[in-house]
Amino acid sequence: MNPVKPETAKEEQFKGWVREYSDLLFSHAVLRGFDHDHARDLDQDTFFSAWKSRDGFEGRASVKNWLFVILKNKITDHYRGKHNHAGILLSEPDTQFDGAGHWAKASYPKELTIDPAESHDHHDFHKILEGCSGKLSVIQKSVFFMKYMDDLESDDICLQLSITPNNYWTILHRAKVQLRACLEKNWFLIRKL
Amino acid sequence: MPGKKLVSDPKTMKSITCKQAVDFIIRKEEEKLSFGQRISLWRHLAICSLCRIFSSQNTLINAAMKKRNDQVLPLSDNEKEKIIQHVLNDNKE
Repeated sequence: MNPVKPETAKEEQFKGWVREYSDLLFSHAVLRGFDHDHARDLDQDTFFSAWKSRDGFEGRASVKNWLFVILKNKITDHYRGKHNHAGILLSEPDTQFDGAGHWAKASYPKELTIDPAESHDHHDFHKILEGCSGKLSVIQKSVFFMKYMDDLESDDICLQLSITPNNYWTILHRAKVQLRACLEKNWFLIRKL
Repeated sequence: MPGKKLVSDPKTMKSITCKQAVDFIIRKEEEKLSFGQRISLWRHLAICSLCRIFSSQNTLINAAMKKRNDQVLPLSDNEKEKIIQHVLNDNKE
């Protein structure tokens, strides 16, 4: 019998984690607005940290959850580094509304006719949404994805990104209105073809 | 209608702008609206078709964002092995 060295066994276990979970971590990062190269780096960094702290882990939680906690911390760190952009963003004038708080003529919302039974419509809609959400600024993306994909509450998001509640609501408001305008524009563009 | 007050608190009768209505629609998702604000929003939506359209687009966007979570983008086996090599080799003296 060949006794397996404990370190070798750990390496084998680690390889299994990478093979099983690296897709999920990579997807998580890409869907939160990181480009593929950046997402791959975050993925690798996550496993790097995981390997370094492997002794502390010892099956306390599920491996998957543990890896996701590490990745999410890395993503929040990245966003937090950019939170000073909030000031720049918020100082820009809001062109979607006029001075009296009415919709500006150019941005009047129009009804999107999306047939729920038409899978073609859904495919188009999701593709456009992907493109439009990619155009949001870093801070808008972070707030948006934390709220609508990670299902976090505003208090939690403010704390994690160290932004004030007022800034939070303004960022979200602008992201929504901008996204809506982009969706609509592209929707009618493809429908006219 | 003027002269006829349905609610005694005058604040609940305040009319709001479209910009505020959008703000209220977004805050409503987290139930962060006071009773008065809810009334104001309801009154605004009753007369403003543009904000009604915004509201339905908003619902559409929220539902679509949730669905994004289900997507998995595969990494090639090669890329996975690269991660393994990087991590394990960098940690060896």
